[in-house]
Amino acid sequence: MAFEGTLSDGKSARAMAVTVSLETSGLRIVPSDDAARPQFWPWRDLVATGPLRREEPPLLGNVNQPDARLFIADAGAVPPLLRHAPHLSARRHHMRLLAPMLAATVALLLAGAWLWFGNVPVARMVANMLPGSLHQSLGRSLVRGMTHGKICAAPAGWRALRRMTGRLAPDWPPGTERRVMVAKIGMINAFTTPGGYIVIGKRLIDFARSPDEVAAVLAHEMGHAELRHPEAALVRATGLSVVTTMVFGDNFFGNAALLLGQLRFSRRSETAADAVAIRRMRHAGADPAALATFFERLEGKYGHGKSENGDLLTLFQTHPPTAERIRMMKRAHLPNARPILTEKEWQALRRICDWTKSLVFIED
Amino acid sequence: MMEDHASSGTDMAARQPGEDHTLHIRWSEPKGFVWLSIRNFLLTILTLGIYSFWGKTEVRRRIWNAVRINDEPLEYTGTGWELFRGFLLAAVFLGGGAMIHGVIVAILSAGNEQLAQILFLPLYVIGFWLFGLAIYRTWRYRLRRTRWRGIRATLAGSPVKYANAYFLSGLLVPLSLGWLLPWRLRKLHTLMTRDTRIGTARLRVDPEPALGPLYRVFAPLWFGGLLPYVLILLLVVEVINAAIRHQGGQPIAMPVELPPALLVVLLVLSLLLFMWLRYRYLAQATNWLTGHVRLQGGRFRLNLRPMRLFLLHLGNLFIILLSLGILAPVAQKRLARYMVSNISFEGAVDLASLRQATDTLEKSGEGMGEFFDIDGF
Repeated sequence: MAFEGTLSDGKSARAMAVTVSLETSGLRIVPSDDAARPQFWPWRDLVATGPLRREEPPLLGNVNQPDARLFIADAGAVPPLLRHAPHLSARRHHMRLLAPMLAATVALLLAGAWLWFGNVPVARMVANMLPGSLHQSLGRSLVRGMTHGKICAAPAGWRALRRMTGRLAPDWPPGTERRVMVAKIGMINAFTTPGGYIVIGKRLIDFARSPDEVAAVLAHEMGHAELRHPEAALVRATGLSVVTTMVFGDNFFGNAALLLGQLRFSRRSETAADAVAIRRMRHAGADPAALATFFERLEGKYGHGKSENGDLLTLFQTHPPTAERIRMMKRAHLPNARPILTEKEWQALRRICDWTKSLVFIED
Repeated sequence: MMEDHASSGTDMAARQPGEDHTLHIRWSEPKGFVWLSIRNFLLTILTLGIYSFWGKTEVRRRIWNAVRINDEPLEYTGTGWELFRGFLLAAVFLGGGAMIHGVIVAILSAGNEQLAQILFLPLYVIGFWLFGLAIYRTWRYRLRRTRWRGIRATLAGSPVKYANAYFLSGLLVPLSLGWLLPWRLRKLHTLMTRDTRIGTARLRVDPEPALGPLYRVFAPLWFGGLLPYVLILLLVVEVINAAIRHQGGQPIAMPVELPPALLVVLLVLSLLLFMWLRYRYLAQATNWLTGHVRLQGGRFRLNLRPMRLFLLHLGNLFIILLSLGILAPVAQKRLARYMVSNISFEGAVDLASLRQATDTLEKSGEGMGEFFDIDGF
């Protein structure tokens, strides 16, 4: 079997026309120029940049002449070539490449599964390695952004807030209670930042019907701070972003995967923070079920948690299905609980935003 | 008959006197790109992203193979391992460096946003310079992995020199309100072209392209860009005035009063005009610069058409959007096909004098290019 082609020695771009014959142990390459010497390339010495494909005329190299190239101008040469040199086939090429790659992927997946289901807090471990000053710097930046540099500071309300914080967190070092603040952030919400800063929205206090409801939310946020959820979430978001971009690329699939991953972590963190809230509220002698009352009213007003039958829609919520959390809080009901604030203190807290001041951190 | 076994080749150039050959460049349509795209996507997911480097390599290999010069294909010899190693190196050094800088800024600024923005400035400046470096190194890698008849290309100049030119000329462009863009384009193109070698043969820019023809197509683009800008401003003021009127206030006085619907129509038309002028500039500037590139006794010719280029990009946009990015290799192939189908070479080349390049190949590739997301190839 013989084919026409060209042979280049790789020393210059000149090529000579050749006839290529497929023999038992290799290719015999006979130049059309009688002055040039024929060559013989054994099958085992043949190389190609990629696997030979039946629709492409083959371009071959030789391990002993790295720059030389033999181009056979007929794609029909590929099937007989592959019979003699199967190492050039796509199948062998993919086996050499994909087998170790898939093995490495399975190993990575097993390691990831162990980290996930074994509840190994990798993100938190990484977050703990970072300096505390970094977390606090980031937290202060976030707080400044959310509060626009202004916090509510009417003196009586400020004292009431300090008392509430002191009862919920008697274990905090003196001075750190100043990391809890109230601001007009325009939503019925509270948030915790890296570094343990907690901001309670004024509208949340307005929505609450008792100081215990506010205290339960504050205790929940203390849970996030205590468990370093914001720090871990930051590390996790960075890591997830890298992984999803590598797997899916920076496109629709990547963004959707990132959101799902972040939401999944967020739900676990909320459950853990609820457990801390229950512990702190009971320790303060207050009723943790106040958070359940708060959620029920919130749900009734805004319709959260309506789709909580475990289908895909609930996966897209940033919190666990509210009914689950409500049940957990109600089970933690403390009979004979005493209010966390007196009525006078509660009213003072509700008027804490009658006077605002510029935000100055204790660390500044 | 005496035989040469694999261990001893024949120096054809030494045996034959030099002969000039013309170069015929054509495109040989590759098959199976849709399946290749899907397969790359699935394997990339299965391997948590690692296969993407090999997938990109396979796409390039097939596109290079489709380019035929005197009926013999270009060859892409890069490997997925090289791209993967480059990515890891860039992630560690560039990504790690950026993260460390961010940590230092966060600590030093202590929540002060203005200070943080000032402290981030050096990162942007260095990043801009590194972008130029990344462009040069990326193209050097790709040229070094491109062979024809075994002869590989390269960039023989200094990446730092190119990065400096990229950076400094880039600083001047905004100062000139964009008027220096064609000058910058010519400068960087000339630098890169003069460093390009096919084997040991230099590409030349001869004569250096005059700026006149470039500015003749650029000027309408510059002025054409003013119109949508002004119309957008008028539209924004109109929206603000509508809000003010709704609240019973005194609207802002406008030099020209136009109905909003007419403004929107004019804006759409002006944007279409701008896009047409932009593609006209792109096509003609590329043709003009390419037409001054010489290899030995011959020169290249490129014949891009603005409308065809625009429709090609539009088609590619639809392909990428509708496939959520999966069929991006198909878009790359379409662009390559158009470019190759419209490039030609006039004159002749002494192939015997195109000797093999002698520079050393790097072991990793395009890490910086990946980091800065330099083009789609």
